[in-house]
Amino acid sequence: MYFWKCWRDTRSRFIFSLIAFPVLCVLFTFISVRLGWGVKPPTVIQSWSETTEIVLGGWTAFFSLLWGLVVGSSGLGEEFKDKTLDFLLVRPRARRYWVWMGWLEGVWELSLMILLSVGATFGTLVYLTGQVQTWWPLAAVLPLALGGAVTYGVTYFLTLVARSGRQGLSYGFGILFIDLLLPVALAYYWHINFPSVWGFMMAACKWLASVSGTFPAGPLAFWTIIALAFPLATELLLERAEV
Amino acid sequence: MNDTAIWTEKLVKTYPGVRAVDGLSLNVPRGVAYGFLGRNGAGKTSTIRILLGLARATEGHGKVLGFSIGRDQIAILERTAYVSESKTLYGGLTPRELVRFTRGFYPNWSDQAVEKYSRLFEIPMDRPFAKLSQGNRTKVYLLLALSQGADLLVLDEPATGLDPVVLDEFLCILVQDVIAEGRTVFISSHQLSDVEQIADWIGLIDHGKLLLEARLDDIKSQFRCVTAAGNALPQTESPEVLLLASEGSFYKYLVKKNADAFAAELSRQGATVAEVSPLGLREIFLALVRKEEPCTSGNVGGIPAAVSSSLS
Repeated sequence: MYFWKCWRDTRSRFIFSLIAFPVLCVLFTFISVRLGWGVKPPTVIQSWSETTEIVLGGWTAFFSLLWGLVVGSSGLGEEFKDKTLDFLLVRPRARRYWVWMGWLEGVWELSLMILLSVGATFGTLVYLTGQVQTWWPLAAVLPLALGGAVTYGVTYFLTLVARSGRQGLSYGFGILFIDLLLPVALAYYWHINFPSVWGFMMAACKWLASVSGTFPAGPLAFWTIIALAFPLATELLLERAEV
Repeated sequence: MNDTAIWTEKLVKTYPGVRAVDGLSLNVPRGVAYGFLGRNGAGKTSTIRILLGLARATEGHGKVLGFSIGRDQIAILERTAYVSESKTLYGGLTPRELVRFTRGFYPNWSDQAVEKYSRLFEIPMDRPFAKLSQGNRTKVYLLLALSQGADLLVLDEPATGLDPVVLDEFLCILVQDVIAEGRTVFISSHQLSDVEQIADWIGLIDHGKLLLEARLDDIKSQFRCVTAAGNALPQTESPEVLLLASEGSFYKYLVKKNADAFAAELSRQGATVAEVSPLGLREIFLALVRKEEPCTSGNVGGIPAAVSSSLS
């Protein structure tokens, strides 16, 4: 029921994104195959690896991070701002039900959007190169969805902290900005490796592009824990909240 | 305890710098309409929020329909319908969609009730909630509450924006479809005349304290206004007598019990008793709240507690 209500609230935005993101992926894949990002004209192998690394690991990863922020901002905190939370919380369900149902709906939207984007990228690659070089790019769904789920969870939590979707979104943008810049700065000036969610997504797609070297299993586990930690923190916060 | 829909003992709710609810002990019998009255900021909504688990009590405890507040909250919410003061719902959803959203939570949900009340209230079921007038928004809230098949209806200012015709229909529904079926209505309102129409019991709260809790019939049959003229009439007060006003040699008393005996006593003291008149709920409300307002927390609760016990 709450899942349906969340879907009902965001369906226009979701359907727009469901069309826009795969279209962008098709466009970037076309550029990748026809023009190439490195050596021109690219070979078929280069097209496949560059597309996986740059289109999926770069652009799609960035879009999924942004999409996570936007979806998260329509989380439970928005109910505070709209003064609808008391209506919700007097329904006979535990508070954790609202947290996890709302979170699950966002993750579902995010996963479907990424699945279609990766599918569109893969399909375009097959169409333009006339062959299936490798199936591994399809596995990019996992790190991309996980990265999106991290920013989604962070904004979902911050929206409740701020009790406003817009404020939660601006805090989320701030954290994403730090996530993008801080690891680069730390690595450049002090040679310190600081975990970055975008860095993880790029690394995972880079591995999928060549399937060589060590699979980033540690970061995968780390970011899975982070992705689940924020809805858990949201639950703890809501359990103690007075409306 | 089984005959009690709402029972609280020494309930306290403090916010920084404010004691919103101050040792409130309520006894709301099952199957009655209970009018919960008080001024703005008296602590009515804070009390309701504690009962429904939206806020936590700082001290004290209580039960709703036999279930402990806080501990058995889901059981309470399954059996309780709530109409909030704000009447805010999801603006993008139509009343039909709000019904769809709400029905799945309640095992006793009645689609026949939805059909009946939506027609009776003339609710535009397919217009987004945000585009409805204040009156129609209130009707949607009432529709959702009435269709839950709840054992207890908690209504916080339920008449907001309703025209007199719909309000009258709503009050009839409460009496005929809810109270007559043995369900309980706990109604918090400023509209004393509406409460007076349906309430069996009255709870009067001010500054977070219960000033009066009694059957409305008992209040009406026993509370009297005694107007007298004379010299050196009593100005001191007792649990049964409140001095409402004195101007020159005229005195006006609110007598909570045995008004005729009090009037006779005044006559014996040489006073001329001009009138012993019954009081409406509005007069009693104003008399008690205005009278108690200047009091400090030490003596506010004493009189009503005595009145409550003497009338019950």
